[in-house]
Amino acid sequence: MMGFLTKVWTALRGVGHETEGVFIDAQGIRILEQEVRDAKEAQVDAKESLTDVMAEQLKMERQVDLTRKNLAEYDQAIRKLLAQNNEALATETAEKIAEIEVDLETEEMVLTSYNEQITDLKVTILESDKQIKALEREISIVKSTEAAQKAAELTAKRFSGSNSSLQSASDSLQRIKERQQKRKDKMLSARQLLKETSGTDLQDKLITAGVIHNKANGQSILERYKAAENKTT
Amino acid sequence: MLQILERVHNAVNKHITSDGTQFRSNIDVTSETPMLMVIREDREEFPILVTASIDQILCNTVLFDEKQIKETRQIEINEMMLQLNMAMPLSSFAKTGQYYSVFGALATESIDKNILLEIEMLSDNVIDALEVMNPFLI
Repeated sequence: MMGFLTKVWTALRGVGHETEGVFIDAQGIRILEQEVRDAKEAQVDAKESLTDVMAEQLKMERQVDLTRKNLAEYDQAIRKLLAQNNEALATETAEKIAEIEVDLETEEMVLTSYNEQITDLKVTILESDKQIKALEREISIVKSTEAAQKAAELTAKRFSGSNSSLQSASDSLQRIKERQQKRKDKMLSARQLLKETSGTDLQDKLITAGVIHNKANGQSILERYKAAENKTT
Repeated sequence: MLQILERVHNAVNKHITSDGTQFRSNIDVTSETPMLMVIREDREEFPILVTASIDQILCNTVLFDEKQIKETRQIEINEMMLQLNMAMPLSSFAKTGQYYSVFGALATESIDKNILLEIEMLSDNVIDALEVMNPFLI
């Protein structure tokens, strides 16, 4: 499977500069969607096969158990017959055991093959799961990028009339900055107004004129102490 | 997908930035892929387009189209975008067709707080980016 970015790049190169506004052609998305459908179908098939094989495997497991029990019974029997010196029946039983051992071997081989098939199918299903998710993600990214593209055009039209090209970003930036400055100025003058109405402005003027003194500061406190010191000495 | 956009829409319309600006948004369901247009009141020239897919929320703002770049300066601006890309918090530069943009992507599970941060940051990044690129623009 081609990587997502490679796919997008291939689609993009085909579009390029001459077709304004088109990000990826509908054909590209259709191909991706078809890939998802194929992968999903393959997965459904794999899941059905898995169910079938698992049923067969269970059946075969029971069969192997049965054959082993059978074999164990004949094993017991042949021991008893030999103890009783019943050579003829023991020979017949031995032949039966040979037959069953061949059956068991075949059955075990089939069982192993079923187990292998189950593992394979499970891996296939897991992998196709991952593939489907990756493909669906591809489609959603392509679609949302396409939407952003369309949105950009929409915005362009909104701000520049019917013209499809965006209005100058430089002009827009300038306008935004002016708007911000205006806002700042407004806030400043509002603060100024507040200051004046609350009388702080008058107080500031009086302090500057030296009519009233500023609130206590480090220097004035130091001087106060020095003055007190001079008195005591 | 629409539910995610509705969630973003509700969060954005209640939100006021730390400096007191507001956002407004509206969902456009007329197109095949629904999208949300988010506008910061003092930066309406650069709307943020929000789209949602299975695994991500994409916030995208177009900066300018390539025709707005001064002749012979496009290579420099491309280089600049790549160089500055990582330094830009939460957003990245992109080019789609002829449009340059700044975008940010979030997981669909992102909480409102993170989405708002993303959108606020994106809006600031747009202004920042235009500021640094302005000398290259017509």
